[in-house]
Amino acid sequence: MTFESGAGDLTETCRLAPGILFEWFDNEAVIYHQASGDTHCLQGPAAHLFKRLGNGPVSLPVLIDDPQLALDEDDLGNCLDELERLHLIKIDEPAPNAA
Amino acid sequence: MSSRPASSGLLNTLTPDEIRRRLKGDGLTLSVGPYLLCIQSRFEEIAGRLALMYGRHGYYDQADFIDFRIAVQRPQNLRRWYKPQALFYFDGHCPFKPLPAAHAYPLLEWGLNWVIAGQNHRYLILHAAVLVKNGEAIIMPGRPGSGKSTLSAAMAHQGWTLYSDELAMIEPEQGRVIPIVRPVSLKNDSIDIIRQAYPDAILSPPAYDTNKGTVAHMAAPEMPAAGESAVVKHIVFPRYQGDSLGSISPLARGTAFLQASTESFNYSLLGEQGFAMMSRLMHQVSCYQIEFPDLDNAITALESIHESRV
Repeated sequence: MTFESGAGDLTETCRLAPGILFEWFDNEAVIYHQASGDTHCLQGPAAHLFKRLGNGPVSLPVLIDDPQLALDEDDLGNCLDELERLHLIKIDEPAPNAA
Repeated sequence: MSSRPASSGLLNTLTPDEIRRRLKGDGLTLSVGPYLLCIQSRFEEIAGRLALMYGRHGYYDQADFIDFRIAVQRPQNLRRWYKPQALFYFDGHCPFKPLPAAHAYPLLEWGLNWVIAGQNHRYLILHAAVLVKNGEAIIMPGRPGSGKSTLSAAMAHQGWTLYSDELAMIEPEQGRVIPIVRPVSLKNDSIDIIRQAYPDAILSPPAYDTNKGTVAHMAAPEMPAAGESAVVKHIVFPRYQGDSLGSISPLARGTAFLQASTESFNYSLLGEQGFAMMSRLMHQVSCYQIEFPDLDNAITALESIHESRV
């Protein structure tokens, strides 16, 4: 998934996909996907981003401003791409009439 | 399985004739780890090698429940006499192609690996060696050729208790590892290495030209106490590398989790339970990979890890 800066795009909200179990080891997240039975091990920024989303849905502006993640928009986009590719997160589009 | 009555005695108290009679009759019932096996065979070599390799295992005159019924027999056709073959049976089914009769005993051991790894999922089972000292276990997962069996055979002669050279069985309640002591499978050069380093080692006669090369089995030098289990403290991925200087590298537990799960026979099959069991295991261990040029180097590394000197 890619996104660009701008108020409209940044209203999207990220959350974990349903049926995800995970354990945190040191700086790695080991994730079990209940639907597929796949196990993944995330490292680095993607692992920290995943852990952040494990606390609940977060909007993109909040993620960008999160000092603990310290990700710029490009890095955040790359991490979200990876997590989405593995079907670990969902990105909710804003409702059409939301502004 | 855990409330099994006491055995009728140790196999080494039965005469060779009696072992042979049972194998040719209703079967020899042996206690191996948490399981009771009933083995039938008309091969003379199997009677002799079971006596040599499983002498300190308990046998049963009667058992209410048998976990696995296995047999190694000759085919009922021309190959009974002409270029004779051996067939492995599990509960009356013959899952493998026949092997030369000279490989009957290795076939029994390989078939037993297949049965245990594939048929019982109460435990999380890793393809790994398990060695224990002072109640603390090191689990060593490894692909064939990693050196884990040779290392297991050596450590078993240097103060460690061998739980298995092949199967790490993690029980679901507390995440402890339980012993399933069986002969160590040595291949090719490892046979002479162990024979020379430990002249007291009890080795079976080698079977030549198997699909793994020359194979001999080594009896475990000692048996764990009845009902014994161990807490898992370390997971170490060994790799034999003849030209290396030897190294010990810490391994992140998430990475180790993934590697161990690929070395598990039933992690995927257990699904969420497998994930939970592997997670608990990983939370209680430290993980390393070692590269070793010889046995002394590897054992020194493993002792350091065991004593937390790394």
